[in-house]
Amino acid sequence: MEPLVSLKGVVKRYKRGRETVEVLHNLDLEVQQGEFVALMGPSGSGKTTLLNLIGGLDRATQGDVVVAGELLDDLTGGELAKWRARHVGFIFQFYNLMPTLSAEANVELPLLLTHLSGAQRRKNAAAALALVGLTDRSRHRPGELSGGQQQRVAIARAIVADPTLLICDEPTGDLDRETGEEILGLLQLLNREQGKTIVMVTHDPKAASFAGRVVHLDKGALADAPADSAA
Amino acid sequence: MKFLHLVWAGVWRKPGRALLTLASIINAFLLYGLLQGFVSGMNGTVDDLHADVLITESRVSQLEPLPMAQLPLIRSTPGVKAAAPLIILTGAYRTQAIANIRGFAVDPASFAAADPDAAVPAGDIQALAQTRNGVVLPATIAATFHLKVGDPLPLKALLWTTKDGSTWPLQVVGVYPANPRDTLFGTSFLANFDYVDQARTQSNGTASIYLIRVNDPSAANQVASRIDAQFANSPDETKTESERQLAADSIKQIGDIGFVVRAIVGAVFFALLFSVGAVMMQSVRERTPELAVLKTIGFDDNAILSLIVAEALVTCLFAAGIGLGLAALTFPIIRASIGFNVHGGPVLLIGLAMAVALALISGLPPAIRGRRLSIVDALAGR
Repeated sequence: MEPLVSLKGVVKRYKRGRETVEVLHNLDLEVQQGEFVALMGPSGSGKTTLLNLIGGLDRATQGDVVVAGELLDDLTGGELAKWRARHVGFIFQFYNLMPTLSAEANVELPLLLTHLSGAQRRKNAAAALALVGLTDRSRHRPGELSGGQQQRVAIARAIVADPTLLICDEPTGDLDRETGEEILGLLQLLNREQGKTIVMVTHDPKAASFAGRVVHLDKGALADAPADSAA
Repeated sequence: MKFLHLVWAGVWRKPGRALLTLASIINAFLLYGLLQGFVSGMNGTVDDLHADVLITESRVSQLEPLPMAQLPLIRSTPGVKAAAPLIILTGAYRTQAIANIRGFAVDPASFAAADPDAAVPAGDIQALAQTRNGVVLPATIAATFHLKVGDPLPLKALLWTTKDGSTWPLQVVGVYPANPRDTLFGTSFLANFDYVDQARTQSNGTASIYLIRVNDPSAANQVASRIDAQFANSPDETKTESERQLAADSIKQIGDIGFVVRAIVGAVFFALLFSVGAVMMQSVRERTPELAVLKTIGFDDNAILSLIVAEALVTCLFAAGIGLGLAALTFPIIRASIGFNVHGGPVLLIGLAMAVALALISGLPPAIRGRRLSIVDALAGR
């Protein structure tokens, strides 16, 4: 079966002032449809850069990034935006919700780019909020919700357009352990029950244990699991 | 329309700042509406005046009388349709307080032929002709001074005294509906020329001005030149202008009001441009992570640009609409109080076009910045 995510010989360099820094070195990675993969590694190892390439937020300097059957380098900026809207849901460490919109309106945002009617958009947003257990909080603004509730809204926003792939960048990094585990349980549920493919960056071995596979990065290349993280 | 709530939420992201910005735009457009409405009313009033009506007065001064011997010569000038002599009879009318009331003594028959607005009905002209000390007046004047047919109107004329030194014992013989387009006679009473001319102590056999109507409005200037040429180098040289030109000249004596208004409005909008631009720029800068998230979930560069421009448009059009709406409420008051016929439509349309221009000029720089935003850098806080 074709992998959902396939990276071959990927190199990523950044310009930092006069210097060029190579963050990823000739990296190969495959993620199968329906997998829950945790990306672990120390700070500066290139986890978020890799996540950005998989999510179509950035382009590789060299190599091929194929996700959901699309070679992302071939897409223009506009096409890439449309592709992200159709195939990828994003969950961030700091939730990144619109503070002036209600939970329901935040969840509805990705659907504004579809041809769904207003009623259908609201129905889908309500269903996504129900899935994350926040039906009774749909009218609340982010400032009126706890961190865990905000992350649930972010998850509802990520899944409302029914994307193939969920990209999570430290989704529990700003939450206490108990709430973090609730969120990870929810992601696990989405992976198992809804068949969502999830790629999650985390520092936390406990969080990584919720994933089906853990991939370690060190200095921009895939690495074997360090002895102290074999949890 | 489905993005409107997103745009509206962006406008009100910081309610205090939004209110102050809206208030400054409302103020600017209210000021524009009032001043431009005033200028438009002034110009409109001049434009509404007749191009086929000429007024002949002394070249020396409007107060210098012209001999009635000029009337037949004026009437026989090629292009003249009708001519009527008028005596200015403005004076003080004693009510509870003394108030000035504007009036003219006219020859009823020739005045009816020369008055293009024909505001005075034939019945009232006849009543005026039949009553030597009679006056007819428009309903607006009658209402202001609480006058009705049969009432005496004792007048202390500013220029003329009666031979016995008393006030002019005028009497109201007709009240007719006011014609708001008639700026010259619409706010004046009319008395009998013969009565006033014969009863005054001086300048008998003269007129203050001649009211002339020409056959062809496009030839009015040539007719005016012909009239003045007849009396050139005589003791009673004349100056003939169209009613419209006379009004325009009177306004010019005050100064170039149009230029002054344009200068004020220009300065206000120049300042507004910077303040709204700065607010828009700051608002977009504060929302960099939010815009990055929108791009992340699929909004492309042009959608982000459109959202920010739409936000500027909604802000400016919403506030300008309120400001212009408030200004429009004053237009009937301007019309009623100083008689200016404000053409509100063009004033409001130009105002809305200015609001669109303000939105585009102040909204485009931050919108372009938002369009160029790199998702990765913005999410990383760079």
